[in-house]
Amino acid sequence: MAANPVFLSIRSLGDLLRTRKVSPVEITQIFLNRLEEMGPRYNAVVTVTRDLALQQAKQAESEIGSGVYKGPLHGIPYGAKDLLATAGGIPTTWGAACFRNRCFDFDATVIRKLRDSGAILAAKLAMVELAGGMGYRQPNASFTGPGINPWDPTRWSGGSSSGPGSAVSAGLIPYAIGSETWGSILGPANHCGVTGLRPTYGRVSRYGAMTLCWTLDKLGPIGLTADDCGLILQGIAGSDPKDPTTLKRSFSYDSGMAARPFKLGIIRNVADGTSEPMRRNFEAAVLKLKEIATIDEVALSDLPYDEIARTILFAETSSAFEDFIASGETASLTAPEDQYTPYTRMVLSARDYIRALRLREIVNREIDAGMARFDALVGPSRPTCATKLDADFPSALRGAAKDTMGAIGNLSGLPAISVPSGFSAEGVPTGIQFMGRAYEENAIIAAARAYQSLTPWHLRHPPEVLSQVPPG
Amino acid sequence: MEDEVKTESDILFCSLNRLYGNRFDLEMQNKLRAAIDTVAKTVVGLRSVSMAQYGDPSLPFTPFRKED
Repeated sequence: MAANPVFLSIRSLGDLLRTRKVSPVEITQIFLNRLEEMGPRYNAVVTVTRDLALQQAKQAESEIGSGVYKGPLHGIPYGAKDLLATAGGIPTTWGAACFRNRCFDFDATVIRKLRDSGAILAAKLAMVELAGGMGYRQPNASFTGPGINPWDPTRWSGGSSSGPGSAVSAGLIPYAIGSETWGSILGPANHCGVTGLRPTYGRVSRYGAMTLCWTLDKLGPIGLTADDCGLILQGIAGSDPKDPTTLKRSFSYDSGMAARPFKLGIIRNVADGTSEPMRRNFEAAVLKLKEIATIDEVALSDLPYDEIARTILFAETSSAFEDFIASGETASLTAPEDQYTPYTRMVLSARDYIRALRLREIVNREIDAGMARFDALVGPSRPTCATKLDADFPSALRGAAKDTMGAIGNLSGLPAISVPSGFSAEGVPTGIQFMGRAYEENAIIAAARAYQSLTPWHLRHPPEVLSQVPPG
Repeated sequence: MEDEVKTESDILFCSLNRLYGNRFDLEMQNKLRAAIDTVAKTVVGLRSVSMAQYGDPSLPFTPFRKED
């Protein structure tokens, strides 16, 4: 093999595959071996789909060899968060012990679209049980164990897309598909030092994905770079008759978009309450961004963003899992708090849910008006970097501080991308997020790409992992 | 035993306890009590905002016809 595929970007891997300098079967073997050998170290993997992956890799090799090249994902292995339905006897567990043997007889639309793009499904990846919707308050909330951070095995990988975050960070897989209801893509991206893109609500079909909250759930990529995420999003975006909430607007990734100088905004006091390394590295990132952007402060209306988002989350979760909760099956969940907290959402009134939806409409309009003059708002990706595995957190949704951008972004269905912004004194990654207006993924990816062109953070990989990368 | 009802949190807890109380021991009931305070505090924050009477919810309703 001419090059070592571990920690190569999608674009680089794709070029090597297209020009037949590497073989889909060879690189699939390498990633399958890494998933099997190193995956357990991070509790990152639920099922390695070796047989399917090799079958798809052989098909890709044959197609590319005969001149049929399907695009930048063709022949590249990926992992899917284990809430995406997969046919063929591959279990889809939702991270919960009671579903560990459950199989569906169909593929989620995202899985189908990636297969049609020539991508190779190599693993179903670990996640917080039921995507964290039951109210977990510490990392040990999955039947596969707590997600372990490749940068520091005493720390958490983040959730609920814990496997996608750690698997990409450890070079077990070139990219992964995660999901976010509130923080579940940006969180693991922040904690694991990788890039995570939360698309606009409705950009990617949710058909075949576990429902946590109908109006908050989004699927999106976790990869090494912003450019990777753009290429992956193009492969999975699009309207789907099986998911009526998908957008009619098409998405075409514009990798040449360069709107310099970018117009960026910072919500007033956005870093208040965040941990010292998050705040310090955010301030350094803002200084760097001033080389390519104008940056203005934004004042938001005094609305209870957090409470609105939480009410919708509580109400929709309790409905989506009503039968599960009422049957008493929560008693089988791993985290003790997941066994009782869901009951508390069962008594939320319809009046409060509708009030939250009415306030959401006000938020949608105010935020869109406030963001109209910007390419993106920037802020720390999360309030903290990766916490210790044995540490409780005050809220699974926001760590130790308010997550105003997370509340607004998810409430209003806005796209955001988290990219690495540096490290704490202990060597744990931090992230910065770029959040855009609805449908403006290209703008935030362009800004994130420009930031990555100025900084080295996304090129750093966990030392423990680097020692096990085969020579290129 | 009659539950002592003073606050909305008490009402929510009583409701929950009557529906599912037989599933929880005393220790878990105490945890439930704390967890339901979170829900009660959340809706208090939500109700602190005054809205126009006519404000629509952000939830599109479309009359259905199969052929559309």
